[in-house]
Amino acid sequence: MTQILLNPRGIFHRQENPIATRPVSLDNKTLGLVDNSKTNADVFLDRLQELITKTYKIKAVLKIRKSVAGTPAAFNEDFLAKCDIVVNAFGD
Amino acid sequence: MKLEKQNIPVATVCTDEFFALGKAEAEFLGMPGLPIAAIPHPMAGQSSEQVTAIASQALGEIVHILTTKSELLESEYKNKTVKTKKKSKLKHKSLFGDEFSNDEATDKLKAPDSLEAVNRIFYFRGWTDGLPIIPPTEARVFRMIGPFDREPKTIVGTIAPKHGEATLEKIAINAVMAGCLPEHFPLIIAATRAMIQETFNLFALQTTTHPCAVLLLFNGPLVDELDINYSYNAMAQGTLSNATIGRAIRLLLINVGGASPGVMDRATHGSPAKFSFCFAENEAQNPWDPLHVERGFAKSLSTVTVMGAESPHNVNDHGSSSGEEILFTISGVLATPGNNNVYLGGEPMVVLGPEHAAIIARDGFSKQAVKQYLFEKARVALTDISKGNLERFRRNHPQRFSALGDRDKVPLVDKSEEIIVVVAGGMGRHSMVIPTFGGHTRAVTMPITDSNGNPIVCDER
Repeated sequence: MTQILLNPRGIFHRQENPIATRPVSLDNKTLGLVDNSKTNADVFLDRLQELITKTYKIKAVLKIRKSVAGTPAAFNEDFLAKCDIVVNAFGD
Repeated sequence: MKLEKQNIPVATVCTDEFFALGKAEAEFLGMPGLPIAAIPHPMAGQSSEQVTAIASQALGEIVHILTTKSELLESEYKNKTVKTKKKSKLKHKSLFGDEFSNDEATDKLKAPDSLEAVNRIFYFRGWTDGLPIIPPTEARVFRMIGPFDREPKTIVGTIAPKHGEATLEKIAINAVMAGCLPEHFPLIIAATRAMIQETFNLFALQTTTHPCAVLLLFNGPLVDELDINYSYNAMAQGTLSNATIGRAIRLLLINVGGASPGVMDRATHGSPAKFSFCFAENEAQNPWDPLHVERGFAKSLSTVTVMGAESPHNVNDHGSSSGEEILFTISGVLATPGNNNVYLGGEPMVVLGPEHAAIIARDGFSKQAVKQYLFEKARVALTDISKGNLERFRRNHPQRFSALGDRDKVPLVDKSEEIIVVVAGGMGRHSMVIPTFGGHTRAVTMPITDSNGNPIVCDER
């Protein structure tokens, strides 16, 4: 004997947005670093900055730190206008 | 993702334990091909030397993510998984673990006509809270929606973190499973509307390592109408309304929100409050205005207030004979270094037992005076905070710590009004303190209405 039951799971309408176009090289790019305030995210990003700027001709580095990891980052106009590439660290 | 959508390439970094969460978040926010670089977990507790070594190792993948053709990256990262060192201890596979089936054709399921078999199926699909459920037949769901005169597919909102659509029907299905009565349905609708408000920040509550539950506090005439317990054992077992309304909300968070333990629900321990945390205010023994009146609603209206809260912690005070002494004890229990309100502020709740409330009011304290006392006294000495934590607090929350010297004390809130004070419980010299997830979630109060949006009116008794 069988019965019909209703499915408790929600319906999700999935979108598919493409990711950004990547440059061929990091040379002459402005690097953005987003620190989400998790422990050691700043140490991690500082080291990456050191390595990336040593290896590539980085035009400038802009930094943002979130005060609370669990809320979306607020990017100022300057950050959005100038950054060519960004490293966002880190979810943990 | 905001940056990616503005055509700024991002190398997103997650620890391997949280890679699945990051990927699921990207997928359900509309960017399944978002490249994510995985680094070893945990990063907290590592020395600077270890962290810089991990950064050096991650450099290659980060540069790869920033310079490879986007189509190739999307193809590479869409189906990528990361093996973590610890095997998942989940004894069952959640359908939300790796995929979320969106097939509407599975809206109806053929199941054996056996309570035990249905429970096995639902449990092993990750659709329950671990306790037995009532099978959601069409007849039961129809009765649950009952007089709520709207099309069952009407969308109330979406529930984070996976933003599944909470239709009236889906809410009713989960309410049936929880054991609710049709009379509970408008209350569950109101609670759902409240917790999806932006200021409540449900996404963060659902995915955090913190043990926060959705606390439901009811006020108004519907409390007595539906026997929502506000007296002895109000926060525990024994009352149908308390147990099942809270449970329905939890099932919605699992099934429509998509937060399964260890996958998107990353609570390190969780707490018993995540089964159900639902009670009412003891308005008859409250010497002051009840919470909903304080928050601007008429006393005759029924409301639900939702909060992102930890489990309650007892305040045992049998010896104090004055209101100030009782508040002194409560302050000491509130002000502990390990709770989120210390560094994030927020709206911690104090639930005064009626005996304590009577003494405090007898000694002339208004509710605001209670809050002011607690604001001034419930403060954590910075000397009681570990060096590592204090450094982190000062760095990440300068607005709360920059003016404080090392021998000062930090309040739990930014202003006294933020402490939420209610009265509940039976007789006995006990009160409760309930820390919350922090200032990035705010309590929301919603009126309980019928399907036309009119407040539900109870017959006068």
